[in-house]
Amino acid sequence: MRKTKRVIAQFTFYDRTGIQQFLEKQALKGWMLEKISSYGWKFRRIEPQKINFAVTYFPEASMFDPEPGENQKSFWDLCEHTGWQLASHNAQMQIFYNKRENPVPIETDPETELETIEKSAKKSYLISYYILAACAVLQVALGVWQFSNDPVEYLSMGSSMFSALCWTILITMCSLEIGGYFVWRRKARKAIDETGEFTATRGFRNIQLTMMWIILAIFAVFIFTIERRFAVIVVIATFAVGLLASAVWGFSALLKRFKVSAKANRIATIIAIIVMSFGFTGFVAICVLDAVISSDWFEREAAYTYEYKGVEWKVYDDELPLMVEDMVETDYDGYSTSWYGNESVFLAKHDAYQRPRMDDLKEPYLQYTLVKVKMPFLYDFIHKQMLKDFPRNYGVTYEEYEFYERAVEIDASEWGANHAYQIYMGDSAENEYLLCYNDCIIELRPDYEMIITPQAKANVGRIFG
Amino acid sequence: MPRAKFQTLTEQMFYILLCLKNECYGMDILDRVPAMTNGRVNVGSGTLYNLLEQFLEEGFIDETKVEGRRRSYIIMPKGIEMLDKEVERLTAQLADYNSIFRKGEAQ
Repeated sequence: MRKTKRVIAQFTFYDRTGIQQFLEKQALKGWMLEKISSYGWKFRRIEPQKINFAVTYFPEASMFDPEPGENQKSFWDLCEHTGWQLASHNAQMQIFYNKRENPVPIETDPETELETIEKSAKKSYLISYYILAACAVLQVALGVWQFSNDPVEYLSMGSSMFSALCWTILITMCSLEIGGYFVWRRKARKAIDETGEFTATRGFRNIQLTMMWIILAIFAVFIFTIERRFAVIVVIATFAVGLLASAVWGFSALLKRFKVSAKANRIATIIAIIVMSFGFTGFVAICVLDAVISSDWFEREAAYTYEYKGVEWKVYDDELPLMVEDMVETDYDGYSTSWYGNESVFLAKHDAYQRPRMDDLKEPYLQYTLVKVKMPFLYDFIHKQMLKDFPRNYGVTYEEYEFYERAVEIDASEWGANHAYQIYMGDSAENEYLLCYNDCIIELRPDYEMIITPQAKANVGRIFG
Repeated sequence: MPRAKFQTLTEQMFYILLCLKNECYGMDILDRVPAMTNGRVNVGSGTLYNLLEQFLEEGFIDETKVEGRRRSYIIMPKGIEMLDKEVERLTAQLADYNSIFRKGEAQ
């Protein structure tokens, strides 16, 4: 039988009622709290029994204290006098247990108890939630900005959506903790004025744990659905960030061991966080640059290369859903075919091109962007967005301009599509099409000299329709 | 300036100050208050710690001895004033009670 166990605490910081009940239940099940820390709460096996627990806050204490201060120790002594033994403490939170029957509670005055919780909250807990919430809001704002810039690209990137989701969940968690605290405090204040009773706290541990598991589950899905080499990078980066966090806490713990004062430790730790974060970012940037320059880790593997006018050209051999051969007759076999893009649960967006070698530029080429809409509710939105971005005017709004591009709806039936659009410059139709099929939209840009026969259009419709 | 909370004393505050008429350790207060009141009033260790801190801040009491973690305190004139004020209030309360109910009995 296991002698010890660790529990992910994730308790709401002011939830003294919830923590007490949790610890009393654990003791009845035969688990005694041994140590609380940021890495989870450690329990050791005991005879199942009824033990009273009390959670109190000592505002003077700090997580950077090299050792408990004299005041804190005399507070412990007072508690011990009434049978309350210290089980563990972490920063301001002090957890006591008492085996006596009906012991005198540590807090017998709800007003003083509320005051100590308020002081501790103001001194540390709330501040860390404010900082976390600010980071999360910044990240979400960045996501919103990226989304508004190019929604189609954004929705096809699993990584940006995963990060947006994580930060949104984090904002929810912070709001629950901060908002929950203020709501509780107001209620508690009112109750003291009216009835003189302490208002039991309510935590959000289950919600927090659920959210944490959701993030982990999505992370796992994300890792297993992206390309292997990107997954490797993401996993390494995740570990590195974990290592970085441990290094910072290790550094702070080391300072504590050398009895550095709480104030100096706090400053040194903040500097360490900044230096290490920048150092880490710089290190990663250098590694990435180095990898890009010196190796082909980030380069896709080419089928073969050739030299043309002293430059090396790569020829890819990816499979494409639609080929030049589907649109015109050709027996040219020197094509390079490339298929590249992103995929998320909402969209798959791929850029495809099929190009002749540099020494055969007279051969017809084909390029297109294929967006597969996986969630039908997004279809109309993506349709509208792609139609809006289809003419490429690069910010020119002067419609009389000779090269101003307009998207004109054309007969879709020839293409076997639901909607079809073509670019016009003035009165001249360009060889650029936007074709909407049931679950995909394709922006087709064939060779501008290519004559699109009814047969070619039918072929496109057959492939995507 | 005394805070609004010390306009009146709670029972616990009253008995803590009362105990400190003679110099005593924090721990002694924890035992003396229930002994004095036949267990009617109990002061929790956390409450005591915080109230002592606040009394010191307000100048109601003073620290007399600090032997490491053991500290002893004694009441100061300002604290006695607080006690007197509270007793006055309680006496007035009692007098009001008597004037209504005892009078009724006499009739």
